[in-house]
Amino acid sequence: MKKLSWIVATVALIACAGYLFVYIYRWEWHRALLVGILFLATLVGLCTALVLRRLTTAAARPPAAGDRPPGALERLRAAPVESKPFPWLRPESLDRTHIFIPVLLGGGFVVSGIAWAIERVAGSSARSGVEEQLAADLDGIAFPVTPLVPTDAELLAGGDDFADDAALRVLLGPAAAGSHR
Amino acid sequence: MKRAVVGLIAAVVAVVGVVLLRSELMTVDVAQPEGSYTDVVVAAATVREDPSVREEMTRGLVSACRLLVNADVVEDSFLQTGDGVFAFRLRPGLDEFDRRELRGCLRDLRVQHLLLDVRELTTVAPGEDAGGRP
Repeated sequence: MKKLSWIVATVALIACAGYLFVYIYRWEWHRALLVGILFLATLVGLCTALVLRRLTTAAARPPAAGDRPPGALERLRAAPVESKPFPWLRPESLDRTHIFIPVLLGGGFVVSGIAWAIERVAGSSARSGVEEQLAADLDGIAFPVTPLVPTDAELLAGGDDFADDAALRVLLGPAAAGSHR
Repeated sequence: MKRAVVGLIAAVVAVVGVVLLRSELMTVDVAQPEGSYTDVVVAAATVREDPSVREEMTRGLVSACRLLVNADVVEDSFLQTGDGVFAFRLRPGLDEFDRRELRGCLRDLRVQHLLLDVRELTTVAPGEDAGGRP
């Protein structure tokens, strides 16, 4: 009975696939959609049945000796052996060239420290002179002390009634002189 | 080995199917001569419907399908030539690809309870008799 069910499902799947192809080939889209849904449903059912069968088989099988989970001793033995660090520092290796590596590392560290110190000293000694030179250069393009345009009060003071007052122009400065009409 | 053979067969079938579908489902516009037309004869059958509405249902399906191929049903050309057999004419004439599409549309289950069988679908160019019908 179970075998018959598998045969029927497989035949249905193949038939649905065939009709799907034929209906698409004949431009009959609505029929193709219907058969496509049937095809998908059959496919899902078959796949589900396959998975369930596999699970049932696995559950029904008696546990074998190899299926037992490993004990603590097996796990310990299977664990990787702890590696011994810095093997070149071991006494039996001191007379070999392995010692060259830590020396190289330490030398690199020392050289880096010396380079850092030189860079700091050079930066601090050069900074003051550079800043002074930069300030002197920027003076040439700095804004003037006096305003470039007269304020509203200066415009009012240099109006028509006092336009010819030389003393007032001296008082207001060069900015107000430009507003003279 | 057995699985490889089955997989190979499935792959070959899939490739052949795709190639066949590609050639059959092509939509290429082939210019038809001026004044050409397409004559269509269909046999309609209804399922669980009054036969008196058969013509109306057929007209509805034809109206829907002719939109797919950008053709108009010639006025007063829709005639009943027999019991459940209808004929109509489309202008402009349909090329090979449009004829396939129209045939599939008419045979499809677009209208519930209506089954159409396309008996004749011929494009006639002016100056050409209908003797060369496929």
